[in-house]
This record gives sequence, C-alpha cells and structure tokens, in this order.
Amino acid sequence: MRSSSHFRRMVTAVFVTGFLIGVFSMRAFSWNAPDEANVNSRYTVESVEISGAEEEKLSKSLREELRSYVGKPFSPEKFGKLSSRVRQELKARLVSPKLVKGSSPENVRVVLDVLGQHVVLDTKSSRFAWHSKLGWTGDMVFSLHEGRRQLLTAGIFSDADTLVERSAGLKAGYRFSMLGDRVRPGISLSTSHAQYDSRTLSAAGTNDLYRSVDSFQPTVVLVPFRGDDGHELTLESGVRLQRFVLESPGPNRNVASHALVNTLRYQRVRGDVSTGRNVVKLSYGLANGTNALSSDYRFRRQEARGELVYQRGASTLSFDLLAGGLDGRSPIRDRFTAGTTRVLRGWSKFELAPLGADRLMATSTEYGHALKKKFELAAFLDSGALWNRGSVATVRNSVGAGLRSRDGFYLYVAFPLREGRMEASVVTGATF
Amino acid sequence: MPVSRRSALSILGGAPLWALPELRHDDGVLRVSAPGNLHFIEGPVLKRLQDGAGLVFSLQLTLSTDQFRTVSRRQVERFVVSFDLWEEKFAVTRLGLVKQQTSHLSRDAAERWMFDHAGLSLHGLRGDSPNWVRTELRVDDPRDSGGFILDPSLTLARLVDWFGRAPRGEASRWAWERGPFRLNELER
Repeated sequence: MRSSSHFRRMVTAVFVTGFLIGVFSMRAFSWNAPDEANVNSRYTVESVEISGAEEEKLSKSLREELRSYVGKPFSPEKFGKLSSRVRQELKARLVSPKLVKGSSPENVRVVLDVLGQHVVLDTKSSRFAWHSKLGWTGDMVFSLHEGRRQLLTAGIFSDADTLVERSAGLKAGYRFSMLGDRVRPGISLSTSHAQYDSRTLSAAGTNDLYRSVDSFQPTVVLVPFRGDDGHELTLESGVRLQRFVLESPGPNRNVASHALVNTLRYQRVRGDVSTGRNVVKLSYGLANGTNALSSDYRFRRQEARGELVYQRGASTLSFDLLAGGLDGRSPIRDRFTAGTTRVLRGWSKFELAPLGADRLMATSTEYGHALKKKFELAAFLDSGALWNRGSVATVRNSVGAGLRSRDGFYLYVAFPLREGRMEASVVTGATF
Repeated sequence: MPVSRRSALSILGGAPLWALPELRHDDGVLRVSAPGNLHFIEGPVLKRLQDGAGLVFSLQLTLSTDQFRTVSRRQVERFVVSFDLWEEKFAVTRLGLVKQQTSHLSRDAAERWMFDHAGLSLHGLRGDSPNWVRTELRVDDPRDSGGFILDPSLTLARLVDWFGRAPRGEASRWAWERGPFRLNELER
C-alpha cells in the first residue's frame, strides 16, 4: 500500500514536471522575419529615442541598453524585443518602433513611439506548487492593470503550503495610485475555509481551529522614496479585519481578529548581469491585534524578510533570511511554519510543528548556474529553526538541487539533514 | 486566356472585387499572377514599411478538383517585404530552406515578385479534369512590435494578452477563387 502511494507520487511528480517544462519551454509558432530580410539592417543606428513618454521612467539598465545600440547595425530582432520591454516597463498599450533617416546616408534613427496606457490582463501573481509531503498548492490570480493607475485582482486559491492549514477560497482586491504614484490606497478581501492535516488535528485543542474566515483589509501604500530601477521604499499601513467561524461546537462560534497592519519594504537593483547585478529586497511587517478594534485576539506579530541576489554572467548567488516573532494569543493562521516549498525545503511542516510556532528563523543560500536557453541548475542549503517561546530552538538543515527556469518553473529534490534514514522530498512548481 | 468558364469571388465580405488573377502553366508549376488593379502594399501596410518595418506576407495557393470540398494541393510561401529608407525602394525575401532575395524594386514590382515566386506543383494531376484554385494573401501582424519582430517566447500571461486582442482587420487579407479550369487549357 505504501509503495503504491510512493509510486503514485512519483507518477504525479513526473507528470507535473513534464507539463510545466512543456508549458515553460515551448515557443510560439513564430513568423518572425530574420534580421537580414529587412533591407534596413545594413544601416547604422545613429540614435535611439523615446517618443510619447519620458525616458526617465525607464529603468537605468534599459536606458543604458538602448544607448548601447548606437553605432551598431540596426537589428529588427533586437529592437523588437526592446520595444516589448519598453512596453512592459511603461505599461503602455503599444510601443511602435519606427525608423527615420539619420543625419547622413547609411545612418538611421530609431524612434520608439509609446502609445496610451496599457490595459493588461495577466496572471503574474499566480503560482502552482507541489510538495511530495504536503500535496499541491494552486493560487490563480487574474490582474487587470490600467498602466500604473489602477489594479483590479480576483483569484481562487487552495494553499497547502503557506499556512498550517490548507486554506481554500476566493480573493479580490483593488488598488489605485495618486499623487504621481506616491500614494496607493487599496482594499483586499477574501473568504476561505480551512482543512487540517490529521497531525494538526491531534495536536490542536478545538479552540485553536477555525472552519472559515472572511477577511477585509483596507490599506494605503505610501512611497516616500523612489529612485531608478525600482529602487523604492514603501510603507503600507492599514487594518486587517477578520471574522472566523470556529470548529468548536459552543455557542460563541464567531470570533473576530482585527489588527493594525504595517509593512515597510525596500528594494534596490544595481548593475547589470554582465558586470555584476545585485538585488536587495528587505521588508518588515508588524501586525497588532488590539482590543481597540474590538478584536477577540490580542497579539503582536513581527516578520522580517531579506533577499540578496548577486548575478554575474551565468551564475546567480542568492541569500534569503526570514525571521518572525509572535506574542500574545492569535489565530492559528498567524503562526509561523517551516518545511514548506520555500522555507526549510525537504522537511515537512507537520513534522516540525503541526500547529506552527511563534518563533521562526530561517535562511536559504542558493547557487544557480545558467544552462543554454533559459534553464538553470541550482543547488541550495536551507537552515532554520521553528520553536515556541520558552522552548529550546532546534536548528535544522536541508540541502537540495534541481532545475529552474527564468520564467518561474522550478523542480528541486531536497534532503533533510538528520540522523537515520534520508527521505527526499520533491518540490516543483511555477510562478506565472 | 482560354478558360472555358470562370468565376471569381472576393471571399472577404465587403472587399472590392478585383480583376481576376491570371493563371499559367510554368513547366509543371501553376503560377498565379496578381490581379492587375490590386495593390496590397498601400495604406497602413505601406506606412508601416516606410517606418522601417519588415512585414511578412503569406501567400497560400490551394487547388481543388471539387470546388474545395477537398483539397488536392496546397502551398504556402512566406515573404518579407521591407522598404529601404534611404533608397526608397522595396526589397523582398522569400523565406524557406532556399532563400531568394531581391531589392531595388518599385512597389508594383515587389508585389509581382511575390506572385512570381509562388506556385503549385501540378505533377500527377490530370490535365482534362476541372480544377479550382484559391489564392489567399495576408500580412502577418506583428502587433505591438510595430513590424520589427514578435518576441517568440510564450508565457501564460502573453497568451492571455494575445487572446484578449482585437481580431485582425480585413485590410491585411485578400482572397480570390478561380475555376473551373482545365490544366491542359492553361497558357504555357
């Protein structure tokens, strides 16, 4: 029976992996014209100009890349791709590249004509993941953007990865920007129900578990600083209003968990891949469940994250840090987990703490080496501890290796480092 | 041209009815010539070429012996047309395993060159049977890249974006049918 279950898991892993590799490696039927088929490819680019938008709104790296084509033969293929990138960065409806005669024969000027705000429907915040010890997670989010002005999202999810419980439901959100994108008010709401693993059920008291939750979160994102290349400091502040229906059969089955939520985020990107590009992302979140909001829970939850990425040529080295602390009495969904597809890969969250814990410290160091096309081989070392206040923290480690693509696909085999038998976990998925 | 009976239609509703395309038998290959009064390098297509774009034209010839209930031969040729910014002349490249290229053409000559380099093999077909031929020409639409190129990588987001776009306009598609005619009656 056990071997049959393993076999099924392996078949599922192979199928899911094959499907994802297929989706992420296939190329659309292409009717592209080769460079040499355009007679203008014999001319030299005299200048590259942006019309219809401010060039300063482009990232520094893209501006530099545009300038790097000056003095070189005109390449329709390269400028086609550049136009797509300009369109994405400016969230324009259309970027139409045009050639005009240069100041002397044999020279041409390239003008990238930016037209209108782009209303885009995308699925960029979606993800699919499968962990051989936790099962699958799906989060499908459809986002409708009108340039940077408005963002409407709607999604459906079943998440067995992030929280202690599997949380499945619907979510939606709306955000708009004002004052030159310095202020972004928005709301998000969700409704979900919970399913628990048997190990969680046996460890929990009935009061710890809830059946469903409705959440409403109005916040404002303030941008006090913004530089080139997404260099940005933001502060998101607001309230999170949640109403839980508990599993317990008592009369008081509805409880509220209302909290003030604040998150400070910072990100910076420097350099380019050829000479060394580094990305820094930092965030600190504080949620305060308080009686002032008529909450049945009083707690303070802090979470800090750091992500450092250094990329040069074919190599990428990244370091992630996650630390969290929870004080007071909170709903189970505010507790920390590890042994997921992102934290302490290779372990199972139910093995480490079936009810989650109120202290977490985890790091991940990962090295990737680019193969041909867009795939990378990667190897990682994860370390971390998940414990409750007053108890002793036990540091756990895991190592793993796998394949990932720049489009978001990943497939890892991860091994928890411990005495006794070594049982590997397969972690695969994709972000869209 | 000695064709017993002929009919022609513009497949696209509302499109003008051009003069009929001429057919000829060219050493075992059926050639179709562009209708004399048709210019497909004009309007927005011409404007995009003058902006430096290289546009891909697909020319498909379909031969049928039963008025297109079945197809007996089909051939698609793809051409890249570009407009030399300084010389103000057209260049055409036939794509495929064996590329053919020409330049310094006028607009009319560029249009003719594409038809002259497309044909259907007639090998194995009976000369006395009635045939119908359909000629379809379209400009592939590279959309947001303005005609330079389409980024060929495919992502889910791009698919959503792609299917969310408005359908292609009829200004960049042309089609004609001709028949019935017999192969042994064609001009050689």
